[in-house]
Amino acid sequence: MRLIEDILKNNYETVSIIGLAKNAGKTVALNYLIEEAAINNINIGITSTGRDGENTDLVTQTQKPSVYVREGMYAATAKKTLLLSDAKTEILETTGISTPMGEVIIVKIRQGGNIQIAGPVSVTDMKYVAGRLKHFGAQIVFIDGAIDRKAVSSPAATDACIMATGAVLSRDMKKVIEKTAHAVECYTLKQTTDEIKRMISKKNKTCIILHDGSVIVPEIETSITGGKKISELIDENAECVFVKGAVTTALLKDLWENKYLRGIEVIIEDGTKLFTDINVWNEMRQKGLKVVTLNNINVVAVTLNPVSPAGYFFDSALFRESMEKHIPAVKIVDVVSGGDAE
Amino acid sequence: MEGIQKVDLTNVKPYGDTLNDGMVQMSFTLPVPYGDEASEAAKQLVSKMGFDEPAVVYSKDLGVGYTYFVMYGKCTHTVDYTTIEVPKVDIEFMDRHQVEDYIKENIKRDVVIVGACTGTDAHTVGIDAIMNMKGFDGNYGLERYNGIEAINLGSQVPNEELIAKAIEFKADAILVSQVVTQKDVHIANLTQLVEMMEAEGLRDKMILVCGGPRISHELAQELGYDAGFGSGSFANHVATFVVKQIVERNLI
Repeated sequence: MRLIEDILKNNYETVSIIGLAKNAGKTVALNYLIEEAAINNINIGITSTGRDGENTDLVTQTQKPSVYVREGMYAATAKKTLLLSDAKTEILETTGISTPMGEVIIVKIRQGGNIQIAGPVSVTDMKYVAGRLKHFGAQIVFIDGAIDRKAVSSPAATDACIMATGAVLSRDMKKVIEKTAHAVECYTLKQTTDEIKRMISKKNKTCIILHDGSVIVPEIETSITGGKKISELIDENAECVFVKGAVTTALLKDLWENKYLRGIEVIIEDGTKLFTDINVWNEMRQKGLKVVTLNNINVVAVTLNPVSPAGYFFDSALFRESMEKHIPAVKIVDVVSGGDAE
Repeated sequence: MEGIQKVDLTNVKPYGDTLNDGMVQMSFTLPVPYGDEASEAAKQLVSKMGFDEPAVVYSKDLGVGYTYFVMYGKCTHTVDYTTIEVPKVDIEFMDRHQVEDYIKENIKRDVVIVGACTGTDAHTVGIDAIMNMKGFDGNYGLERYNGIEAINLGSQVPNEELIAKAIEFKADAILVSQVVTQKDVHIANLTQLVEMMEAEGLRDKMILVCGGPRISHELAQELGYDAGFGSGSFANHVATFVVKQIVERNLI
């Protein structure tokens, strides 16, 4: 089944496209999805948390791909970028949300062409805009992430996510695969049981759940520096630990000091909250660290870009095969050469 | 004003003695011994850069086989000034006293600003220029402002520590300085801070500002910051932005 059909079948209404690095191929992936949607007669809406479709990169001054939109699609973009686009559009409504490029405007494409997309930056505004695009008739809304930011892929913001990775991550293909596999692992961690979820959502704070069903809430302002205090409260009576917010390497190390942690699960909000060093993470996981999430993230595909703007590239067939071998559970799509196989 | 040539803003090129002569002065060093061959090499290089009529106006033997040059050349390219648009922090800046009065009238409590030079970056010039009492170039820093509690954490501060301190001091705003930018390390560092703040649910509650020689307002906003300040920014610019945002976003 093709990627766009996968998304439709699973009823994912909002899909984020996030890059594991800058220039990992988010825009190329977006263009691929626009084309696939057009072929399959699916009405989509697009917007971006950064800026897309401009000619040159703000940081590296390298060329960037433009976004080509088709007639009948919907888009949410800032006023000034709209003026720079050659696609013909009909303005449906203004949103009152301001960006550095002006107010975000919702449009319907009347005649295909290149467009620049710059949508709202904050997750709260993005959810509103995605809702409006759906209201006007978009069956699926694609939200392109900015640079290497991933907050928009949190289940609190979007239903599913597409992860863009590519040669730009490292000159060493092994490292690219390792980093991508790590990101996929973090995103696809198992979800906890409904019962525990209910108990946690009642507190909505970092807490420890005991075997007898009681809950201890440590007195900390943030889990970032509260590792030691949380750790002190974990003993043989603990059933599991919930950490709200960012989970850093230092926090995991503090928790790991406690020997009772070996037998129990650490629950995090979702995969976007993990900020751990890849080596520390792997070592702890091998020694038996169990991490589950409150809400899992649906990774519908990993897209590959075998070309780096720094001037080197990988053998695309080999790149794809190796990636498929290391990440068997997720669909791998080479958006530069080939697209997805049947 | 007959006889005076009008500037064509759609085709702007450098001005030397007369309009549109394209004259450019530049200097560089070549790793070759001083002499006629060295001057010829310099001229050929400038020609390859796209300049017409390259000329060596000064050259000096630097010893150990190196030569320093001052060159002239005529630039053949033009830019269209009328289509240029640079997004900036678009507010009217107040001076120190106005900022102090603004805080007294509108916020009625001390504004807490935590600043740091994050990641591996050890260059505090930027954050010091904005925060330290003595300031920079005749403009006092935030520490001098009545009504602002400025906390400068210094250099090489990890993002998680910066966030922890911001929570501890109940900061209204976080300032991040990034001076070292090789291999674009500042980008990954800056995005990580925003991501952590989103993860902690703090992003909407604090004003997030970054600064540095390679940071523009446009880049900062794309990265998810509220504002970015490049070279030539002073404490009063940053202070104006922060206090106005506090009021605008109702973070009083």
